[in-house]
Amino acid sequence: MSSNLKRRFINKVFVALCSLSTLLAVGMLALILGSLIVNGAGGLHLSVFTQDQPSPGMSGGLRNAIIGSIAMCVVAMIIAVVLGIMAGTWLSEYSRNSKYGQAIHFLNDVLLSVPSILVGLFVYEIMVRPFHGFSAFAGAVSLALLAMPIVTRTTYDMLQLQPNTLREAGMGLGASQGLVIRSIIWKAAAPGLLTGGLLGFARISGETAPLLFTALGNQFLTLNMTEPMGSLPTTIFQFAMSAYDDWRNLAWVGALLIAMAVLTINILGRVMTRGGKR
Amino acid sequence: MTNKDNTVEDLEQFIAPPAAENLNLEARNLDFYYGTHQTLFNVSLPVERNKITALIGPSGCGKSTLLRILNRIYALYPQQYAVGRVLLDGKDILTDHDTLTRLKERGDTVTLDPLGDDISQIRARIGMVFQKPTPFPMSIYDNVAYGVRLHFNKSRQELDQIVERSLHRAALWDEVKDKLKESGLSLSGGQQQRLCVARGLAVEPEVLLLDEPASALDPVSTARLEETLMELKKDLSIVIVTHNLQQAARISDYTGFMYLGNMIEFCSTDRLFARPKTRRARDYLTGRFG
Repeated sequence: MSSNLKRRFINKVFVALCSLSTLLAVGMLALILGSLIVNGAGGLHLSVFTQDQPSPGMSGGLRNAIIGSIAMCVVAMIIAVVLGIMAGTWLSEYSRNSKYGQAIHFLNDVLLSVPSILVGLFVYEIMVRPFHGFSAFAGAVSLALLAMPIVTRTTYDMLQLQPNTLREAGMGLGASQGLVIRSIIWKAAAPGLLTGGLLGFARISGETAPLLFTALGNQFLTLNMTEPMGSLPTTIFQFAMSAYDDWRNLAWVGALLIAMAVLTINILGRVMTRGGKR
Repeated sequence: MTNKDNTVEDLEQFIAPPAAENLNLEARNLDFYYGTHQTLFNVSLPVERNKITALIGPSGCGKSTLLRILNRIYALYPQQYAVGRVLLDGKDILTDHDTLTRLKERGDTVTLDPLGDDISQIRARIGMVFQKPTPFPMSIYDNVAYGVRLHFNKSRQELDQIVERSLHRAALWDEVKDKLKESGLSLSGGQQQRLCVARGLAVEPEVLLLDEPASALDPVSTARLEETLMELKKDLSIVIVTHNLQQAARISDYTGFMYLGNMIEFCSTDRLFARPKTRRARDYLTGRFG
């Protein structure tokens, strides 16, 4: 009886601890979102999307930064998704049990957790210094380098989930391995591959450090990828540390926009994967 | 029982094997290795045209392995290799460089009569259906048309006819004729398995290999599948691996009993079930082990 009591007690304590830590984690998130909304929502006017970033004391918005962010993220994601899916497919389908494949797999996992500032410095060395100038394209490449390992890893995991009999069934009909991958395995894994892309996008949408070394920032609107380009994270970085109230308010708005974008993307990803599972 | 007891010639001690001219597919003296681990020992299997040949035996005895050699699907895995001959209509299909080298190493001096190098064509002539249904993530129509599009250049109309005929032959047409555009994954397990049969039939194979096709199906679906197979043997030869002894007895003409990588007995199904020659087969059939 006493051991029974003890068991129940331990159970209660354990459940309480679990609930507490969950509460802490969710509470933090709620606090962050709450302060973003409290401080940012007030400044969320149409002008944020229609005007470029102002000089101190003037009115303005974040148009150049928003468009810059979207442009660089889109280019980065195109690079990361194409290379990442290819790499993940190679790792899963072609390099089975080979030493070389295992080494690449390990290196990719290392790349997953490389500090983003290192990636920024790396791209600075190979793309900014040689060409004597910061460029949006260098920014996109550094973001792609951050997203690619995520896409690669997710692709690998999702392809590994596909049963071998599916591959054998395809090849049993006489299809080549490449065709089976393209016409059957990718299709079967499509929701997972999409999730990988979205995870990668969520990761890079708020990255600041690599952009400071590569795209630098630009207070004017530009779509020229060979020039420095503004982005939400670098603008937030610049404005949040400034002494001007209107700049700091815009930084809050920018932070809120990024948070909302990431949230939307994650929800979208969830919905789409669920739709695919049937 | 030693390895030497089961070459094709020795099968005659059990019962006269199918006449050579009636053989559609034949495995001769096959050894099989997973890496260095040997799992098949000098196994031979004659597959007579327009008959159902069943492979029975306890789990891990090599039935599926044997089946996977017959259409060379094992070759997808670098660690696995077979040594021996597989003949499709008298022509060798195990003619890859590796197998030839190993045949020589083993001391076989036969000259092969290769069917050709195109493994894709070989696999088109020897269809395979797996234990779990493997519908592709596409519409029912595209599932059936997959292999046809691969090998033949058919017009839309011809393709429609082939799809309909294949689904008819697999006894699935009536259930899916109104929803050919729906995903193959939306069907029930039994329907999915018959869809896989239809997909295999669409490329007009001569031989159909089935690896425990009914083990994931309920009794009603199993009965339908068996009816389908009985119907199909008019047009092609069937090899079926099964754990279900009643199933083997019901539908097959010949049965091979395998144990620990050896073909212990091979003869007509009636004969094997009525009067098994070996004690192992007798014990297995009466449920004393396995």
